[in-house]
Amino acid sequence: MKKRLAAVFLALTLSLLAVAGAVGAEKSIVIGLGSDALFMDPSQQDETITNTMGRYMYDGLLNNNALGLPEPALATSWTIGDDNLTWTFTLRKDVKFHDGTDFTGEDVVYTIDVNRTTLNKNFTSAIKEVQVIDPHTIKIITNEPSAILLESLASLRILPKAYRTKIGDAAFNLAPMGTGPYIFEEWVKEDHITMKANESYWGGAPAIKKVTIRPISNAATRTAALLTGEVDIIEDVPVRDVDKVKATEGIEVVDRPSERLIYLHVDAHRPQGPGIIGLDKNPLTDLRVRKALSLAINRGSIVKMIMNGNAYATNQMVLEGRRGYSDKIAPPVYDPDQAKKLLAEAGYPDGFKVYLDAPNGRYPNDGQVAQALASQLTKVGIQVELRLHPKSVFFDFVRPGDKSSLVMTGWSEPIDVGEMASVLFYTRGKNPAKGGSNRGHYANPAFDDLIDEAGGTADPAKRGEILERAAQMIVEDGGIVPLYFQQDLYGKKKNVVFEPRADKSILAYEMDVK
Amino acid sequence: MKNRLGNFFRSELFHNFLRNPGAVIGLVIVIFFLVMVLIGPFFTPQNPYDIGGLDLMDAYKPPMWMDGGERAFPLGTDEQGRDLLSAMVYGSRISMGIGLIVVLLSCVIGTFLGLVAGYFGGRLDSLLMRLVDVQLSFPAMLVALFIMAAFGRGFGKLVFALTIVGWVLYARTVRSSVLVEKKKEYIDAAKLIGLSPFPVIFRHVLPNILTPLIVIATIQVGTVILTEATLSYLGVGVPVTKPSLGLLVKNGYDVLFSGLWWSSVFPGMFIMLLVFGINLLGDFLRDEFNPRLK
Repeated sequence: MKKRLAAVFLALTLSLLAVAGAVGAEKSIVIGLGSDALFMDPSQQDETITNTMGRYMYDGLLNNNALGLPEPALATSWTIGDDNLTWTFTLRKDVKFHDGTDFTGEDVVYTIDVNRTTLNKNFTSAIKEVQVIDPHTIKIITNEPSAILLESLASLRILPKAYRTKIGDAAFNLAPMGTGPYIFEEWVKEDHITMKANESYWGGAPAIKKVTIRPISNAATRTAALLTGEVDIIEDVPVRDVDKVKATEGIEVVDRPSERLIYLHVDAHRPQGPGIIGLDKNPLTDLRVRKALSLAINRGSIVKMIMNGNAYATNQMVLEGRRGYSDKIAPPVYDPDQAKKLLAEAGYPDGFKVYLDAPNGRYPNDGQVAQALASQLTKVGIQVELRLHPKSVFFDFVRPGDKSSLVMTGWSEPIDVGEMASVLFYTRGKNPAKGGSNRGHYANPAFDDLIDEAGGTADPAKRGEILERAAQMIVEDGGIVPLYFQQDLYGKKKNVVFEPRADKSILAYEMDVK
Repeated sequence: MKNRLGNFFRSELFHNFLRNPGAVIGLVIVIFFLVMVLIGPFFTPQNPYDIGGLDLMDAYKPPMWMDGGERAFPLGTDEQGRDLLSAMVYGSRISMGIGLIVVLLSCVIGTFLGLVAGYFGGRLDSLLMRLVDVQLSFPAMLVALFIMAAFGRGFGKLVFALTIVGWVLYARTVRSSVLVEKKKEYIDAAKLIGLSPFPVIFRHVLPNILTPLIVIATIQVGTVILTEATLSYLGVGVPVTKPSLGLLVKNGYDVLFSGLWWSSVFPGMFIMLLVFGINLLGDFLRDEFNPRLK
């Protein structure tokens, strides 16, 4: 009997050792994200989680680094011709797709053609033509000199032409394949995505061999999954839970300024504002009223009380380091008395009434921030009627700009002020490709000229200067009232090595488990 | 008048009431809430619905007996810097107002349709009762949620949604009572002297079926208050700038696990107390008016 027990004990010990050994050899990680990927085919839509999955299984000609700046990936080098329009890219040799076929210039041409027909077409709009010179050299010709071609290319994931045309795009979305550091294994929608390491990745084999992505949309559930050890790392820790998570043994919180700006879109030019209540003119057309708007808002209190300190009050449109961040833009000032004075000077000593349209549940604590704005604006006389919309209807409600004069919303800009402004603040109707989401109908010809000028400038430094002038112009003109940049908050086990990225992707390739 | 009041105090109902501590407590609670919502707003330190009067820097202050609490905010503040006590007084006002209005409306509509269906019978009866059946086969909360999701937030819409949900109960009860009453001799007598149907229904049938109605209506006030609180909790009830008790609980619940317990616990206790009081009273009335329990 004793012998048998000893044997059982020995067997148990050995199997435990074997398990421990296997764990030691095979590093794996479970990542909890706020939502599922919309697509596994990265050409379908520019959406955060879809883009993240694009980074796991695919590469671009360029890949953005952690700061959001494009770096050589499948293209190793490039030159610009004297005409400022013709770009010649040298492609990496020895790169294979996961099925073993070689990556060539044909795949680049195919990728750009596919993206021209999807929701990603803004990334290809600068490109006129792509020519294959030899399997590892291509020429890209742009419509006009472009300073953002490299950024745009970094947003395109290279698709396998032979494989994707063979199985069709619907099947490809369910059985994706690229050249990236991880190989697709399984996708059960709204439950998990699993991937294994690509041992022959051109950039070197990943340290973490197995990755599981778990979409957990409820923030409290996501936090709980981390605290119970079910997942190793999560994104978007709720701001009020940060202290609790920090206090938990073996778990820590890391943060990074987010590229997402929360701001007010102001109806600055239309003589009659659809969101103005009980007046047949639009007080917001008066610069003094727009200035009062910004002066009345106590950004510091919103950051401190509602965001629990996890945000950055700002008067800028983009983070420092991005083109269009300007030192000449003064930091935001909170001065309700001055705001009242300006309103009185503009002829509204008793203020006026206006709707504030804001989302509820789209951004962290957005509904509460909107309430605080309503309260602060009402104090100086801008009496706000708050209209909170669920996230499913908010964007359809505000996009045409025909129902509101004051909109609180967010924008995450990965390139620069020029890209942001041409979507959000370029005069509507002047250029079909621009101003599509100009919810406040901002219409300033001088501003449009600067954006156009930046669009035709190939030198990034020069483009930066122009965009700084543009940003200063619209902020001082009160067409936008920047409020704060969010903070990206991640919770992780202490043994997970992780640095937050500008694009908010959690990339296992850059991580390790100790 | 004096004589009638005297009769009431000498009645069996009043006698039993005094001997039932639950009923007395229930009535005291209900009267406390009634007085509070009627005159409370004149005494609260703050008008929580005046968004211009709120200061964000007062947000999440603890109750005054805790560290960091202030006398100005006896029970602490919520996430917008609303004084919780004031917000609860105003919130009770909305909760009770909606409860009473909805019960009144659904009682009137349900009773009328129930009387008509029961008295006339036939096709009208079948039609109305199948409608009731269909509606009762859906959970009331689901129907209310659907209506609120379709029309958006607001007091009027809440009252509308809850009335739509509520009338069926009265219609069903009244109809069955009418079916019993209309076979009785006094109805035949009323018909014989040549009264047309509606005078018979309202002057003779209605007074005799009032007791079950009173019982249901009393208990329903509590149910409606709970339904309103649930809808507001789910984010489809009252506007966020005018929180009811349910919405206060919801706002507080978001931060409950961060240690800021007061902003959900106090409003939650208020809902509980109010519904508890109404139910005690309703139970007493049911026991009194139900002949089978005597």
